[in-house]
Amino acid sequence: MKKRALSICLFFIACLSTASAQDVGIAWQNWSTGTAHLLPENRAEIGAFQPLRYGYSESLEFSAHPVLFFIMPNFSVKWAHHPIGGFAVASQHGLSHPSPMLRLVGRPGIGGLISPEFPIPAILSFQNELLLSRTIRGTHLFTASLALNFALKSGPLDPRTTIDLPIVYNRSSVYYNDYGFKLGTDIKGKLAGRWMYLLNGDWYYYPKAPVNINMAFEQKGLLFWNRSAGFQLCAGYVLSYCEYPFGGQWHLLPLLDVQWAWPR
Amino acid sequence: MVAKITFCRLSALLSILAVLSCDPIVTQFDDTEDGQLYTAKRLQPPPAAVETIGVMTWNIRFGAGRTKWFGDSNGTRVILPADEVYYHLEGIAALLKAAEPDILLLQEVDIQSKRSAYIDQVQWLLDHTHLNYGAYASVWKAQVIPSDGLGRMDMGIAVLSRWPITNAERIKLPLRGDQDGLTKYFYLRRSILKTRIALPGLQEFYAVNVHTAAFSTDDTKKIQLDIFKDELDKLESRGIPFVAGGDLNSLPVNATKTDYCLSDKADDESFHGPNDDPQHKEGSYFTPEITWMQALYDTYSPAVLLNDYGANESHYFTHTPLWDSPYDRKLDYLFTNRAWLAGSDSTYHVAAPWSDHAPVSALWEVPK
Repeated sequence: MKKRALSICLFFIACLSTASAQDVGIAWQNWSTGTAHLLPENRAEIGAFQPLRYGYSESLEFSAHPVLFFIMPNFSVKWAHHPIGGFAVASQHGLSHPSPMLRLVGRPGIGGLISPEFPIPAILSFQNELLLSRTIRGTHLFTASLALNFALKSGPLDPRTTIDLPIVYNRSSVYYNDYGFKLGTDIKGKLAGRWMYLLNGDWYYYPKAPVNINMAFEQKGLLFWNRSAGFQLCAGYVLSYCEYPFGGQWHLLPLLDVQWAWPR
Repeated sequence: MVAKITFCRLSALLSILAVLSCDPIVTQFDDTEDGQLYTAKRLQPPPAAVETIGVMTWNIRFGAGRTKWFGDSNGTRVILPADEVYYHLEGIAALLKAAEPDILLLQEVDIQSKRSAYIDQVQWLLDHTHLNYGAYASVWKAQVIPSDGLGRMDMGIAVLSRWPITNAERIKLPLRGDQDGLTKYFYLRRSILKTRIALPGLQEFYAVNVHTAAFSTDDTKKIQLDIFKDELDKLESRGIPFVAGGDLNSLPVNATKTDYCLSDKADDESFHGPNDDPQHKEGSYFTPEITWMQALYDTYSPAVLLNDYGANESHYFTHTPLWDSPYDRKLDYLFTNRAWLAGSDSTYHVAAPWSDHAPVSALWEVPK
């Protein structure tokens, strides 16, 4: 498992080393998820697994996940700030209400990821993230981020309602531990022609959780094929280490996405 | 309606993720694999020479005691808190310390299951009893069981011993043949656990544990029982002494009551009526299966003789699926290809608070 993960990481690093340094003038505003750059005004982007994002103005961007919206209402605002020392700066503030989704999977029979014996209180989850991005050698963009997430609940949430799956467990930990931090770094850039890459690492930490289940780490590698300013495909992996209630576990999962943008 | 459609889309996405994932959601097994070996934190010296050894089999119901669990007792409980599981494990350990078996065959032992607070029950029992060594084979292992909130599951069978276990082999049994593909994928994968134990005075000695299908309505259990007997026959053909047993989910061939559909049914269930479908409750209708244990009885020595059982059935009952009823049928057995000390068997009805199965024990005569 670890060997396979290492091989995939090395492949992506090898791809990186072939990146052309001559190309300049990349429009970081397009496909700018996870960076301090905002979408251009009136541009919208969406992916099969990505939220719908809309550039409202030069300094404001709105986003919401349409697939999840009906079972987990969610909304976030990204706000551009003054650059500092050559870094583009933005903050992102999100709000979500996961209770309907948790109740939907808290059911008897097939599809039940949470036992129906436990009540799910009303939960409001807040995400606040500071993002700093800087262009490196013209064709690469480095981003560092720090997020403070916290949750408010109308009542206790039984710890036996956790969903012990990669990606899901560490993101929902905030519902059980009141607040947590996420520290992240991204590097994305141009490889050649229509090909782009993204390497990213995120570290999750929940100070109020028990010592042996208070952190998680995700490392992601993606290759993008840009057909145009309005369409791209991406594929890659996410390597996840998470401390679950039964112990730490590694998982390697594939990532595939199709993304569209308007105006094209 | 929108929520239902969205849920379906979400389920589809999760299914795609599950299919594409490099690690399967459900662990599947080769025909034979090594068992997982355990050692107690503190070893207690076993006797250097023995004339008889105590052998016990016990389905401990994953430390759930007589909880009204949803899966097997018409209950609603699913995920138990740690203190409840530890309370039941304490009771199990107290009985084991009093009965002092030298070799213990366990069924329904959890080692990392959400429903039993992720407690490694094999390690816990080794650390809290006189038993020193253990071997474990999974029967139901999945990152998540997406049904009723069961979540992570690792349940299996185990052999615990005072003497070192020098080899442990997990032998795959066939899956139920009466389930749809999706249910079968997430369902139990039954196995035999064959362990070689370094018993003083014997060149070779095996303890073989099995837990056969509980709810199959076809001949799955018959096939599993035949495979179990085949494994014992292989040892017998090599002249190797063994003790074997487990929860065979079958009645003795001379049991007088073979249909428990009406006594086991939940309030909202109906069986045996002209419009009832199914006619019989899964796991409660033994009538067509009553001869399936005959070959084992014909070939090997049972700890409880059929004549003794026939003379006083209720004395030997080991199971009830109902949370508030006394044991009302015998499903748990010990066999050997050598001899049990006559009259040494015990069926522990005092175990009722700790499991829906009673342990069965007997003294095995070590061949000279």
